[in-house]
Amino acid sequence: MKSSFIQRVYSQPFFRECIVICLILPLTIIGSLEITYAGPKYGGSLQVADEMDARGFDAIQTRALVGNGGTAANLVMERLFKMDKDKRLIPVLGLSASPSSDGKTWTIRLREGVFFHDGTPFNADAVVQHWQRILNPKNRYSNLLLLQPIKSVEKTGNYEVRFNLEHPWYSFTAVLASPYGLAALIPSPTAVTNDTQNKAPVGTGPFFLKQWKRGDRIILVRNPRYWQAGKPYLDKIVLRTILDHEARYAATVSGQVDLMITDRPNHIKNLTEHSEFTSIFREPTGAYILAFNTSKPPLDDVRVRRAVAYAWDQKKYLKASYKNTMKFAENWYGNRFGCNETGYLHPDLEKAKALIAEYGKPVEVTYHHTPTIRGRETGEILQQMLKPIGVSVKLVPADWAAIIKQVFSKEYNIATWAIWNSQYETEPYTMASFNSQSPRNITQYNNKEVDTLLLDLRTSMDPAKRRAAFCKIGRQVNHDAPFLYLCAPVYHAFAGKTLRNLPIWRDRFLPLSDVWLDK
Amino acid sequence: MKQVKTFPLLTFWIPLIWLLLVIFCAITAGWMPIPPPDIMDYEHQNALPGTVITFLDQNATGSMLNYKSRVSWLGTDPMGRDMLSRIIIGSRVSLAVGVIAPLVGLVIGGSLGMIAGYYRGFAETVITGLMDVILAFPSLVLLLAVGFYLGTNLWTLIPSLGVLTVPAFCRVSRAATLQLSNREFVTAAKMIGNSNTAILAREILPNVAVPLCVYGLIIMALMIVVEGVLSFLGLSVPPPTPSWGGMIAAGREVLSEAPHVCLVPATILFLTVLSLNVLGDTLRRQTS
Repeated sequence: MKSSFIQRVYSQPFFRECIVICLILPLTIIGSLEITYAGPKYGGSLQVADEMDARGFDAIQTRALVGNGGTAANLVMERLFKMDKDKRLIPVLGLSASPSSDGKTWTIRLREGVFFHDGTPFNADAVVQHWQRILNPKNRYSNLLLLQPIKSVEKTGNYEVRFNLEHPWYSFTAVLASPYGLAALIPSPTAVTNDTQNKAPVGTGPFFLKQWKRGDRIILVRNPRYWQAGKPYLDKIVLRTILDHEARYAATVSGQVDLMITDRPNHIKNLTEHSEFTSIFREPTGAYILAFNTSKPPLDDVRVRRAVAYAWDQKKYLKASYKNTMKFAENWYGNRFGCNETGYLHPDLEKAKALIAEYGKPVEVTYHHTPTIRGRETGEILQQMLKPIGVSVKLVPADWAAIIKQVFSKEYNIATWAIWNSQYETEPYTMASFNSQSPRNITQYNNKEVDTLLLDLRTSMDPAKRRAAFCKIGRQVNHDAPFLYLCAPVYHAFAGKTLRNLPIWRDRFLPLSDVWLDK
Repeated sequence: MKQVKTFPLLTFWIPLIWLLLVIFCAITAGWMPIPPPDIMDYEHQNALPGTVITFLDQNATGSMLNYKSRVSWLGTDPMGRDMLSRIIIGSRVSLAVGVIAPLVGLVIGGSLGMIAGYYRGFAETVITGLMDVILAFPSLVLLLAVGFYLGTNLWTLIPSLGVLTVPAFCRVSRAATLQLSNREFVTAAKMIGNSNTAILAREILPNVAVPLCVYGLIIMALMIVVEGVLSFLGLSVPPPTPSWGGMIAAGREVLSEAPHVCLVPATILFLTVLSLNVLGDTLRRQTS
């Protein structure tokens, strides 16, 4: 039988192999392209574990945005702008921000066609109502001092608002874009009017709150009408509060949790070396501190405070408690101002003993700490370091809610605390922490010179003057020792390998809005 | 012929020797050549048992420093504190709770049980009702409430635990008294005109005391475990005083890299509790 041309060609091994390669190669290329450029996957539930639960979500009723509360607030509500590392504004609910020629007014153009989760339209009225409520002194917003340069906010169009300032303010854009407090996050006017915002927050964000079981978990589900088409990718985010470090670690290793935040050195070491986990680190500015109540004896006396500061050896503490996974802190603002001398009180037992002898009375203090291993450990190290100078420390374990209450009601001697700091701007937080009139000045620190310097810092637009003022404030505060430095925090989070698209962790709370799970 | 009772080595002498050793350590801890239990050595955290530790020692003038070394026989904890010192000093807490709390229960519960069992009637109704109330009250809630209002220290913990043991002793004492009050020697004492108080003190008490004391050994073991659990929860003695339960809790975090931090105090606690239980059982068998 006479064979056809194709049959003859195919019978030759070389040509046969060529044909097979020609067929397989495109398929392989297509397959590899699919792997390399695989788009985000939709669906799935992300389980996140942190130590602290939310305190609430209403700017007036909630003093501190902490732990899972901060993460949830930034997923449910949105800011007018975000900020990139070069301090440029990135539009979110705002489209543009233009200052007047004298720098005393800012006009913000708002995004149209956005709705809150409850169906209320987002517009200039929503922004103005939120800011007027915060700025109204009768509402006693706890961070009001931080925002004092903002005189008023007014509507100039359906989708345009104007911020009127007392004076040109260097930190204004950073405040607008801050993810730290609740001021920048715009809530639904309906939820605020109905007084439901604190427990059941409503915003315009990619997720809405389905359930908040206090002390246990916050369940967020996908907002199907989110204004950014195609986002978010996840169906659900569960923010679990697991106070016990060991239980949180066990939940993560066993796969019950996809992402956890921790500060325990052994967990950091184990998970960093674990092939199944991706480490996410962030070194923010700010400092973990032991705050002193300077309005109550014996720490109302600067000699006692300085003595305790001289007896405290932060480097030993970092090694003993954190195994050097946190950084040494001499100030709360990092290196951004390049101050030559910070005024940090380095350990000196002889000076400490001399100051206590000069004080001349027995010194007994209480230390209020979280009922965690870290809290107790810090307390025991404090007891140990203050023992040689004759200062006795009584440990008072309490949960975070109780500590916050004790600190704000000034019923403490020493308490675990932190000086938070925006990645972009330090002045508002410094003002809030050390101005004698600030409700957030939890140490009750009172120094007229520092108050004046803080005012200079706030009203100055000159970088050199600001730097000089800042360095002076830093030195004076360190001299007066209203707190002890525990460390400069380094945040550590560990995610399973299936978590994708986690952006750079620049702010205090984990940015989870755009992540997806590759399961 | 009177049967001579023998005490076996494994179930009597070994537990007894262990307990005597623990008591000896607790009493003489202050004179022992051991480092202070709260001194932290940041260079030697989680050191294994038997590690030779070199440290800088300040001389009397405070200006000269000399290198010294010592063996840490049971290793160090996550804060670099000597485990042997902490176990020895911690035994004081365990023993104080283990002895004094049952003693409170034994005296109060034993007396009430005797009154209820001897007098019967209204007294018995009131006392058994009161015991039921104490038993029905959630013990952890009571301990939490006491700790919250009066602070967590040994002298609030011991009376609280003591109160919780009262019903158990009361029941044992009442049951024994009920049996004894119908015996011939009690009837005889009544017939010759002895007062109720005298009968309770001279006839009933000596017979009730033995089972109560044996039962007390079991309760001692229970109290030591309860103290350990409370320390684990942070409801026992506050730092820097060491306690076995607190040491186990501290070791929990480093279980994978330094298991001795958790296992050494857990073993000591286990052996002490086991000894008390075994000794209690042996004595109960011998006296029944």
